[in-house]
Amino acid sequence: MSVIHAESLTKRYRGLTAVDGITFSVERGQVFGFLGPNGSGKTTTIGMLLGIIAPTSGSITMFDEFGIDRLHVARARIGATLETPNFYPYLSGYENLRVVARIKDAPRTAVDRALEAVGLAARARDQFSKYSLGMKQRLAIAGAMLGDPDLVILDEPANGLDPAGMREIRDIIRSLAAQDKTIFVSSHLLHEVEQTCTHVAIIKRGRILTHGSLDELAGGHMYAVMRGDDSVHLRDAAARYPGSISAAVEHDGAVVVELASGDLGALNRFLAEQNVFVSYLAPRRQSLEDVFMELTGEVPSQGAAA
Amino acid sequence: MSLMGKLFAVEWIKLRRRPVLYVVILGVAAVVIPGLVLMQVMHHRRPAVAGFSLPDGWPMLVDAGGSIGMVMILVSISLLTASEATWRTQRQNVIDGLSRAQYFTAKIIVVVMMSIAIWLTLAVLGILIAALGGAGGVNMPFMTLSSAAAFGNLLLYLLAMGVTGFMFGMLASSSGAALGLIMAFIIIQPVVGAQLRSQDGFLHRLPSYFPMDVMSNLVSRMYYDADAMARMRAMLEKAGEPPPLSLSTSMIATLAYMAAFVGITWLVFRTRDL
Repeated sequence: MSVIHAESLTKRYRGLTAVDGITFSVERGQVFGFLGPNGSGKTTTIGMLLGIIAPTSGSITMFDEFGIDRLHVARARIGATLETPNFYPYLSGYENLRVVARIKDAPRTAVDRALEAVGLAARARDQFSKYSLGMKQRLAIAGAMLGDPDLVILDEPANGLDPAGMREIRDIIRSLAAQDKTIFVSSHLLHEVEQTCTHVAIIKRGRILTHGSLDELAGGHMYAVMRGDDSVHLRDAAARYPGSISAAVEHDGAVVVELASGDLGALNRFLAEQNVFVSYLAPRRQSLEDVFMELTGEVPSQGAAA
Repeated sequence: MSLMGKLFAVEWIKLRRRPVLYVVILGVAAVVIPGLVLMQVMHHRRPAVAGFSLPDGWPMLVDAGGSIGMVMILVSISLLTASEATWRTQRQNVIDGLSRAQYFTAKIIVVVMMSIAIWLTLAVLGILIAALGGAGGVNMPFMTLSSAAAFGNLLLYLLAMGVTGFMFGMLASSSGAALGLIMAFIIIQPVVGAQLRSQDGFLHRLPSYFPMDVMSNLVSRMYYDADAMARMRAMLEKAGEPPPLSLSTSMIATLAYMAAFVGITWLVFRTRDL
């Protein structure tokens, strides 16, 4: 069942196409990573999904509610943050969540539970303006969790956080996923997406370059890394292998062959039949980073690992 | 809980912690109390000087309250609405589940809450100072028909000014811009009015229908004092000027402006990216 389906979604500002005819779906239970460089159109896309930015054209279906005019109905089943955590600076964390709870018709006890879940119970009575960025991000996630939404949309939740803060956010996302919620998380940090998401769409300059499960994207291509006495001879032989898509010699003399399938035994037998013998043969899976670089031509932001 | 109850509850959580609520109430009190107390003191020293008593004092309270109330409600409402755009809580409220219409209605509720807060502050101050001042005190009937109309029109005036502040607060994306628009709104009308009054015919009469002019008629003491109104009419007639707008015309024009300001704000807000 599709929780989100966007069809040919476009947003144009004066002279600028921020989102250019993107189509994608998010299925129930997925942790969907929306990965792209800063300024690629991620926040604009989320804004359109949430009904706060009017699309220039295209359609959105959420929870079977079709059309922009029905998004407010779907919003009742969504918890979301957009860009920075948006709260009243003069209110405490608790009071801010009380505002959200009132809007969502969630009981007062849900506020306490949400604060507990993100580890802010001890600082609940402090003013929001006195919170650290990490605490603000966690409060935003707590707000999104109120009302027990089926879909949680988080826009750059790890933005500006230190490694410990990033790990906390990752843990919260995993815990939400464990509760069978569908999660849509945007990020320019490839490492974050790779660690938390089951599915990914890569967006650049307003266009989705690819999307699919993490396994499909990262495992879509299989490579074999080989070493032998004569790298050029080895490469030419590998290039003749019927299952070979491409073959190249890397700067350290290793020969890398892109294969249609992962059967390295068949490749080895073929080379032996050609009287070409290898001293080293190992598989290499394409990482999400390789996919990202191949598609965007950019070195991705890794963020800090923790 | 009903939808209106929910919207009220949401806005009350936000409003009760905003210093601007208390600054407005204390500001109104700080301006009105010295004037009324001074009247009482003067009356005690020279009994020939009229003190502040009710119901005669209502129009005076309306006049004084209208002046300070206008500043307080315009500034406070524009700050209360524009700050939601600055903090992006306007956007978050909608993301959290309010429809745009519900958010818009919630802000109208704030206009009503603030207007009533100022109105009640003036009423309580007037009654307390009249009762404690000993210059005739609070007499029965507590309110005459005329003073009830004056005090009722004060609430309408505060609501109208609140709606004006709401419009500028919602149209501007920051508190500073909203205050700038309000200043321009206040300053431009007399300047344009002065230019038009030098013209003939319809253009000469047009400034009388400007928003600030028709709204301020509601709290002008002259409209609740038949003698003062008669003197004004005679003076205008002698000068060859048209008579002042009637109170009912001013009320209708004020309501029309309020509807127009709310309508314009909604048309912009309905389609604007948040």
